[in-house]
Amino acid sequence: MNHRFFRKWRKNPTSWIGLILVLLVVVMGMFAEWIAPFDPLKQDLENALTGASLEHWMGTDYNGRDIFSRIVFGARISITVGIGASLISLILGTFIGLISGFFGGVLERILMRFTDIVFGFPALLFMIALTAAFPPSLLLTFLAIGAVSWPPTARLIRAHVLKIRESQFITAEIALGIPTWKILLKHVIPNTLSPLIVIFTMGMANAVLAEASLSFLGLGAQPPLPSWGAMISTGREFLYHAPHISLWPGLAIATAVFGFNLLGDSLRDAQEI
Amino acid sequence: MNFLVHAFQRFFGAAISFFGVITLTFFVMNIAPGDPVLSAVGERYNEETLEQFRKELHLDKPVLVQYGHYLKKMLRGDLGKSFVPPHHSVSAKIRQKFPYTLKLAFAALLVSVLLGLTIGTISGLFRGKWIDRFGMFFALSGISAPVFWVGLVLIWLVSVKLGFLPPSGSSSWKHLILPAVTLGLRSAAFLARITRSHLIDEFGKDYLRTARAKGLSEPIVVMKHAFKNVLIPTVTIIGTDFGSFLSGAVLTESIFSWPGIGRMAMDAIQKRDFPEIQGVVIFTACVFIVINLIVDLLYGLLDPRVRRSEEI
Amino acid sequence: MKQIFIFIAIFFYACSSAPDLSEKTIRLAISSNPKGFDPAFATDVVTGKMCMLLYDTMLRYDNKTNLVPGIATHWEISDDGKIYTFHLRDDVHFTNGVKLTSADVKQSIERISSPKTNSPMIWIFERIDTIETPNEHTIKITIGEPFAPFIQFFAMPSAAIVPSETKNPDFAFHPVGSGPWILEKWEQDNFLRFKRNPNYHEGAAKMEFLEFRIITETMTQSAEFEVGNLDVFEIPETEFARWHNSKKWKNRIRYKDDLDVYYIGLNCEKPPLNNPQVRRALSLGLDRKKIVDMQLGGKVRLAHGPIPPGLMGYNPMMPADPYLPEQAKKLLKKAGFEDGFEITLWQSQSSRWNILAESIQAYWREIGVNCKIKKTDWNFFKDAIRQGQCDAYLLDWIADYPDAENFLFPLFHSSQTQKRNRYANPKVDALIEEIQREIDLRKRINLIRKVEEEIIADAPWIFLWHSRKYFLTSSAMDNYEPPMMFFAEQWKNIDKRRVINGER
Repeated sequence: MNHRFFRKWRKNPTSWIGLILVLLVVVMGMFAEWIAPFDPLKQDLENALTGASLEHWMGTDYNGRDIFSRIVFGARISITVGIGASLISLILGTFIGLISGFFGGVLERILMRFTDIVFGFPALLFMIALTAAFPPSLLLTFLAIGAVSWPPTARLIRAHVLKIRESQFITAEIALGIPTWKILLKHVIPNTLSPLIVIFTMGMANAVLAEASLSFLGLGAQPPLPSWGAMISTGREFLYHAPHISLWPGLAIATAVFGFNLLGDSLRDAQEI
Repeated sequence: MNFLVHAFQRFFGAAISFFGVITLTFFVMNIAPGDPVLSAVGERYNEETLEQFRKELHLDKPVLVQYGHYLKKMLRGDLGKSFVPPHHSVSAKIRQKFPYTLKLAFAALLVSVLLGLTIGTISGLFRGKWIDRFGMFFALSGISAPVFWVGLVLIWLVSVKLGFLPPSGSSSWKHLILPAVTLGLRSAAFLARITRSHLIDEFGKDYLRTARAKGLSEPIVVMKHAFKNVLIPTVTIIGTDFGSFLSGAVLTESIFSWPGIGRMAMDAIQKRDFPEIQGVVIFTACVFIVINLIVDLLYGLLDPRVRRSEEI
Repeated sequence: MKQIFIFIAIFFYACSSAPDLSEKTIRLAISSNPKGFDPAFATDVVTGKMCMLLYDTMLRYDNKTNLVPGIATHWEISDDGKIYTFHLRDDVHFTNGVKLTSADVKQSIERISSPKTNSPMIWIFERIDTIETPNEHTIKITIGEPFAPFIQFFAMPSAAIVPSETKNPDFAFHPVGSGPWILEKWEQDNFLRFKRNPNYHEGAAKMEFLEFRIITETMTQSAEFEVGNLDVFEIPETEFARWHNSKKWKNRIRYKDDLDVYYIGLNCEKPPLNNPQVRRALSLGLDRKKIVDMQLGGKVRLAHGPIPPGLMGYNPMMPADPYLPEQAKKLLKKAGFEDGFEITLWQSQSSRWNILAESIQAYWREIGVNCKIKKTDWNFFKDAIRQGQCDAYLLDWIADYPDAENFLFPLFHSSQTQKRNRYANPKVDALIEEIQREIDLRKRINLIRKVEEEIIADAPWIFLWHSRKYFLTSSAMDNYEPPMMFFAEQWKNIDKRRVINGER
C-alpha cells in the first residue's frame, strides 16, 4: 500500500469505472429512504404489472409495487450481506491461514486439508443445504456464504506467512523471544493487506451473487424484503407478458457485481508491479 | 517415481476429502432442526410406527453410533431409501437423473470451450484494440451476471420473443441448447480471461520474440508456440468446470426444468429427505473430487491464478 | 478436429427423441410426481388421478357428480342405511390374468383399514363392522350406524381394488390393476407413460398411449402447448391476461368450476387469534374482490363460507366478506390491539401461493398487522399445521366426494380440527353429526345452511374463493369436457384420430 500502487491504480480508467459503479450501489443502499420515490412495500393492485412510465421509472410488479424503489432498497440488502459475508470469510480465512502458516507441523496439515475439503466442495449446494436446514434469515445467509468462501484467503495468508517466516528478521525476532502474536501482528498483517483488499473486493462480488442465488431459490431474504434475487424469482412467472419485473433486478445485480469485479481487477493489476 | 509419489499423495488427499465430505454432510444434517421421520411415516402416524421406524434406521441411538452405521452403509455404497413415500431407492434415482446431467455438462462444456477459447485468443492477439475491450467486457459481464438471470433473459429473448427454442423441459435436443448456453457462459467468460492473460504472458517471452524476428507471421507464431503453453492452464480450468457442471447445476437445472442431479438435490433439500440429500451430496462430491483428481494428476499443481468458476 | 464434429453429431443424434407417436397418444401435463401408485397413499390430486387409470373401483362418477357403475353393476342400501350390498361384474381380470372377485374387494378394503398399512386414508372404511362375501360376485358391507355419504367412498381412488396377494413392498412402483391403462414407464420429474389395457372389461381405450409430462413450470406448460406438444392445457393464473388477449386463443378458452375452497386457516387457540373479533378483522382487511380481479383474472367465485357452489346445501344468497379496512381497525382496537400485532402466515412452496401471500401481507400491513411469511415444503407445512405451530396458513381443500359433508366434518368438527386450526364449537359438532346421519334431502340442506352460518359467525377461517379452471385443448380434442371430480377422468373414450381424419 504505497504511493506507487495508488498512482498506478489511478491511471487506469477501468479503476474509476469500477469505483463509480460500486459507489453507486453503496450510496443507493445507504440513502435508500431519500432516493426511492415510493414505499417499496406499498401495494397497489390496480396498477399492477404496468410498464415504465414517468411515475414508475421501471414499472410496477405483480402487486403494483414500484420496481425502482424496490431495487434501491434491494441494494441495501445486497451490500449488507456482501459486507457481512466477506468479513466473516476474511476473518475465518486470515485466522486459519495465520495459524497454519506460523505453527506448521501437524496442525498446518490438518488445517490445510480442511481448507481443501471446503474448497473442493460444491459451494452452492453446501450453501443451499445450510440455509435450507435452518429457518431463513439474513444472518444465516451471510453465515452460509462466509462459511464456504474463506479457503482462498486462508491459502493466501498462509503463503505470505511462509514467505515471511523464511526471512532473516523474523528468525531474529523469534530468537529474541518476542511473543508470536506480536510478530504476526507486526509483519504479516501489513504485508498481506493489499492482497486482502483484492480478495475482499472480489469476495463482495461473489457474496452479492451468492445472496441473489439463495434468495432466488427462496432461501435468502424473505418477503416482503425487496431482495434482488427474490424479485427475479417471483417475476419469472410473468416472463411472457411482464418481463420487466425480473429483467431490472437482474440488471442491478449484474451492475453491482460488475463494479466489484472491475474494482478488484484494477486493484490486482496495480499490485503486480 | 516422482510421479508415483505425487499421484499417491493426491489419491490419499482425495480419499480424505471424500471422508470429510461424508462426515460434514452427516453432521450438518444432524444439527438441522425438525424431525425427518415425521415426513416418512405419513399423515396418520402413531407413536408406535414412529418408534419402529426410528429403530429401523438406528435413529434412536446416540449420534456417534448413528454415524458409525452411516459410515458402514456408505462404505458399502448403500445410499439407502428415500424417507418420503413411496420410498424409492436413492441410487436408482441418481442413476435415472445422472444421464441428463451428463448430457447437459457435455453440451455446456462445448459452449464454454468454443466461446471461451475464441474470445480469449482474439482478445489476446489484439490486445488493447477495441475488439479486445469488447471481448473483455463480455467476459467480465459473463462473470458478473447471475446464472439464473442469464437463463431467464435467454428464455425471454429466444423463446418468448423469437419463438426459436422451447423455454424449458427435456424432451428433445432443442431443449438442451438454452440450458447449455446458460451454464457454459460463465465458464466461457472465465476461460476467455485466462486464455487472454496467458497468451499475453507468452507474447512477452523471449522465444516468441525470436520467432517473430525470424520473420514468421503472427498467426502462425501464435498457433505454433504460444498456444501450446496456454493450453495447460486452460485445460485445467476446463476440467474443474466440467467437474462443477457434473456436480449439479442447481440453478440452471431448476430454471429449465432439466431433470438432472442438481434439481434432484434441490428437491431433496426442500423435502428434507435425509437419505436423498446425503446420497446426492455424496455422489456429487465424489464426482467432483474424482474429476479434480484426474485434472490434478494430469497437470500437476494448479496455477495459482486458476480459479474455479463455480456456477453462482 | 473431424472426430470432434462426428462426436458432436452423434451426441445430438443421441439426444433427439424416439419416433413420433403423438397421433396415438393423449399428451397431458401434470405439475408434480405422483407418490407412487398405491391407492392406500392416494391423498394428493396427482396420485389419485393415476390410481383411477390403473385400477377399478366399484362405483365411479360420471362427468357431473352422479354415481355410476364401476365394476359393481348395481347395488342396494338397506332401509335403515346400515347394509350395503354390491353386485360385481363377472368379466373383470387383473392385468396379470387373475380374475377379480369379491375376495379381492374385501381384501382391498381391509388393506386400507389395517393399521399395518399405515394408510392416511384409513378413515374412509373406519365405520365398517363386517364385510361378507356370500359368493364370488356379491359383497355385503355393514356399518354401525347410518352415514349419509358412505356410498360415495366406494368411488374414491383409495377404494381402488388391488389383487388380494398384494404384499409386495414394491407395489407402489409396479402396480397391477384391472383399469383401462397399464403403466409403461415412470421417469421421475420427467414423464409417466401408460399403454392401454387390451383386455379392459369395457373394451380397450380408444387411444394407444397416455402420456403425462411432469412440468413444474407453468411457463413451460404454456410453451409446450403453444408448439402443439400438449392436448390439454390449464391456463395458469399468472398468464390470464396473455391468453385472454390473444386473438388466436380467446374464443377457444373454456372453463370448469372446481369443487374446492381456498382459505386462510386461523389458529383458534393461539392469541391473539383466539379472539373471533381479531379473526374477523383480518378477514375484513382483505380486498378479495380486487385480488381476484387483478391476480386471478376476476373469474373465480368469491367464497362466503366453505361449501362450493354445485353441492347440495350451497347457499347462493350469502355474500362474501367485503373490504372494510376501517371497520377492521375498529375491531382490532376493540379487541385491544390498537397498535397491531405480529403473526406468521405459512404457505407451501409453490409459486402460485407466493404472490397471493405477499398481497395478503401488504393488506394486513395497512390495518397494522405485521405479517411474516413462512414457506416450507409440503410435508413440513402439513406437519406444522397438525402440531398447531402455524398462526395462519394458506391452503385449499378439494372435494374427496361431492357432498357438503366433506367440507364440514374434516374441516370444522372438533375431533378433526385438533389436527388443523383448533377450532371447536359444540353446536357445530352436533349439527355436523346430524348431517352425517340424516338421509332426508330437504332436512339435510337446512342443516347444512344452519351449520354454515354458525361457522361463518365464528370466523375460524378467512374464506377466499372457489376456483374456476380455464383450459385449452388441441384441435384434436376440441369437444373434450373435463369431469367435475378431479379423479373421474379415465381418458378411455377420448379419440383423437376421429378429428385428425376429419370424421367428426
